[in-house]
Amino acid sequence: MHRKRALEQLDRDIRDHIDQDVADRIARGIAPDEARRQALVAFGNVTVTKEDTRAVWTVRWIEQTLQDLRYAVRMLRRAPGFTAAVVLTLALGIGANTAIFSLFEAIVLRTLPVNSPDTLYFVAQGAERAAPGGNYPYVERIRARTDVFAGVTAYFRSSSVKVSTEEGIETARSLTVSGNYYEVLGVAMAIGRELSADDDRPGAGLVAVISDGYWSRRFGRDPQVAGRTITVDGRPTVIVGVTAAGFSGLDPGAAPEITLPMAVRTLDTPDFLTSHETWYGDMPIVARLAPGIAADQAAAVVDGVLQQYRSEPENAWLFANPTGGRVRGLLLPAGRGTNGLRDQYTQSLQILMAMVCLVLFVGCANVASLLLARGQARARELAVRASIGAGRTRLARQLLTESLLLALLGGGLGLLLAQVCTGAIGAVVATGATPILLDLHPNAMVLVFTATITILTGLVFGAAPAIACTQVDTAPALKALGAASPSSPSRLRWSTRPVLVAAQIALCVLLASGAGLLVRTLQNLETRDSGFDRRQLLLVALDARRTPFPVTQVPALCDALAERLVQRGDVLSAACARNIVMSSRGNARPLDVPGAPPLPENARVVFTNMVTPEYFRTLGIGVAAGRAFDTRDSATAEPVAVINRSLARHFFGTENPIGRQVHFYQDKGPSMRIVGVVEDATQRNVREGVLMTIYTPLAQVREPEGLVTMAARIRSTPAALAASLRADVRALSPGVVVDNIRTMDQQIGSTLVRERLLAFLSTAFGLLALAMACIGLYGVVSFDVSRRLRDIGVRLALGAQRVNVIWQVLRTALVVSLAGIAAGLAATVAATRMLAALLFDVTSRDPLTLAVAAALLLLTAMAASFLPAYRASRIDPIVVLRAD
Amino acid sequence: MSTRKSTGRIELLQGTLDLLILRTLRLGPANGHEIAKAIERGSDDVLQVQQGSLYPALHRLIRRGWVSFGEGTSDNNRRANYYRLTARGRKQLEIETGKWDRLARAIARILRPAEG
Repeated sequence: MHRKRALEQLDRDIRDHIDQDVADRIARGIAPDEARRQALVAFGNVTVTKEDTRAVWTVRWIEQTLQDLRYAVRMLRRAPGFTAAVVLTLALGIGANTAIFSLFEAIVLRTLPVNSPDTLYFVAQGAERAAPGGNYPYVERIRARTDVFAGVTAYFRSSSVKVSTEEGIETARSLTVSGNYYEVLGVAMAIGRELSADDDRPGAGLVAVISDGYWSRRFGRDPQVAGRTITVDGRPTVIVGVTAAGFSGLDPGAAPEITLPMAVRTLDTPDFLTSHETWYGDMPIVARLAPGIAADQAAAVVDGVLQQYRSEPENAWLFANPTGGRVRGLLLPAGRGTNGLRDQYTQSLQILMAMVCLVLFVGCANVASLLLARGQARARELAVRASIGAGRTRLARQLLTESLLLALLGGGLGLLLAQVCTGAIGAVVATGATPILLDLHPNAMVLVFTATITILTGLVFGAAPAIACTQVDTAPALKALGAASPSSPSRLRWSTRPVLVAAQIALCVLLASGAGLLVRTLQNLETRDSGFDRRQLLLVALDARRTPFPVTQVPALCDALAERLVQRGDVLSAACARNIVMSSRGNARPLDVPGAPPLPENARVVFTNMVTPEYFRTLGIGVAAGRAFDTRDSATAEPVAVINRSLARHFFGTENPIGRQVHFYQDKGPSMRIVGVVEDATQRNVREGVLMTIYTPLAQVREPEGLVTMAARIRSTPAALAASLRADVRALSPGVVVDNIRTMDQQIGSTLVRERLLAFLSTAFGLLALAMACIGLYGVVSFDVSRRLRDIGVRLALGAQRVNVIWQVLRTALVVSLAGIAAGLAATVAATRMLAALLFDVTSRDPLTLAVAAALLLLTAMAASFLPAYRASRIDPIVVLRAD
Repeated sequence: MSTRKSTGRIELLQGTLDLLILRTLRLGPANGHEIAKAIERGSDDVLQVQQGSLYPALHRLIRRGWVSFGEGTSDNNRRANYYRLTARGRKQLEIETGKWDRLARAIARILRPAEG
């Protein structure tokens, strides 16, 4: 516009101007050199002119803001201690918020890096609760509905495969997918090509796609990896591509490393693609809506297909729902993947986010307090500026700029701290039995969040001082001789600080109570009696599936291995089980007991386990009646079973169950004779507690079990045994994979990851807030003392005891603290209800916990106030009075 | 800084310079040098223009939309840049002139109370 053109021509204009002036003077008879000199003098300073002209165009408020910023930087550099304290406080608060939000974003909010996530849906079915699942013929039927779906694919949830390397066999996390999986989802490949429908045919050459992580870990990001052959589960498989970084499947928290076409399942289950006999709950079907189709339209179609499928006689057994509700087919949004991880962690993360928010408030209160105090010290400076014409808005803007600058510094440092924090948390949840693998690098949403709370924080804590400190009465302020002008401190200024501290203490009580409840929950869960002896127990997974070792020999292998270990003296006893305690593995089936009072089907569901004879002795589960298994119970002998107390009580009441025959619902094999009753033991996790369980000998299972867990009660340290274990297994059985060596304590710990995380983080945040509140209280009490210095001096001079002085000062602190604690307890009673679902064996208003929290705050507050109080009592009255 | 040199000349305050520029341009478009000369001539050399200060003033006027900036040809057929008055500038000139007149009359009344 004008501006651009005018400025572009400015140089030339000025040159022309001077040239013309020179020409004029020459025309009047002046010599050329003299003419030029005169013209330049008449013009004035050319550079200054150019600068001034350019300055006309700068936006005024930008100029003022830059001025404010420069001033703010100067002010902050002049008080490095103050700046450091404020920036650190803010960094801790903002950093904590960012860290938790990173987790929240990764688990709850993040959409998958696929095309148009909002048009992707899981095909699900159910009565009260719908879940994805299906079988291959069903997938084909859904696929046929091209009127509503642009693409339909399916995959099997993460499992593990054995990959042969030079060092031996290692396990890798794997996924089997339908041929059009990548195409339907719209995932890019970093190298090579994706799987295609062509690869997903029985008899096609075996191919695989690997993940970016696996490519880094195993192949060192070799660009020539496409075309290499690896041995997967004993079969040569060609790698055809590497997925782009960032995609890790549709199950958040799982990160499959090798993806295979679903057709490989026909190698184990030849009729997989055509059989209607099984319904796989762990095979989600994913569909993308056709353009222009609404979700409910497509859902109605899905329901129709499901009802049609169920109406066919061979499929009628599907969803025989004991409660009688109607089974519907429907669509569940798939844009953020499956719900498992989200369901588990959403509430915990919300609680944690609320907590860090409170911590940030506490920090802001401190900072506001500090700024108010400093504002008073700067009263003179502000008065001077006001007197030469700065409006109140201008002054307020200056102070706000300083606040925002502090906030930005705090936010930047906080971002770094959050990185460290998130890294640590990510590492913790990624270990253990069920690792949660998350990509926690800061992404756009996290950065936006951090920027937003940084600016909001700056505005929140900057508002109070900006308002309070600019209420300047210029005359008295200018006349005041020192920093302390007791005559006219702004009323807002000095009464706000104690209120802020009381608020901080209230929030600390809330946080401390919450943390206390969560810690007690963890304690209760960890110490709950689980019915077996968890000390000195080592667990090992023995995996013979898809190896040269025949799975029918697994029970014999267990016995042989146990014998060898016991003989060598390394262990006291050892046994194997299909479903070891404290793991999520295992199935439940309805049990038929002839002669027992009839019960509906869903009330007859019991947990099943297959174990070797030494199992109960090894785990320390007592035998209450009859006997445990022994060597008589071989594969050819009569089928027997052992039940636990809960099952006995439920099915047999007070009658003796020993000798009775039972069999599984709709089971075609022979029934089992009960030979013993054992004590109850927690099966899957501590919260769930005891399930009705029926044990059968591992040697007698009809479908041989390839994956078992060995439990060994060891004499010495786990490490010693772990090393020799692989050698022992290799000696007894070639090809069996030894995996996942851990102690029972570690196993239990891995079921409590969430509780541990909550307990640890809430305690950390509570302590952080407590530290900040202490500092805040210390500051207020010190300030109070400094205000009353003359008073105290007079009192001491008149003969008051030093102890009385201390008490005087502490009394103020006590009032503030008690007010805060009372408010905090009220807030706790109201708010901790939100925690109820996460607690175990402790109510949300547990009096003991609240009392401890209150007492802790009181003690801490008194300790924080003691030092200034003590110093006050030590002042020399003469010095104080003389200085007046 | 040519204050010392000229004895009879009076320096101009910033606001009044804007007014004089507008008035000069009312007679027709001109470039920087011509405007400076016109002001000095028109005031019989009483008013001394710090020539450099013309340009910030001109750009201020451009920014407010009272002066526009364009190309044209000078007397000796050279292409040069000219400043010209806009319609809004014309109107503003009238307003400002009116204000100036009233101010001058008021001051004159105080300095020389009405005879009689």
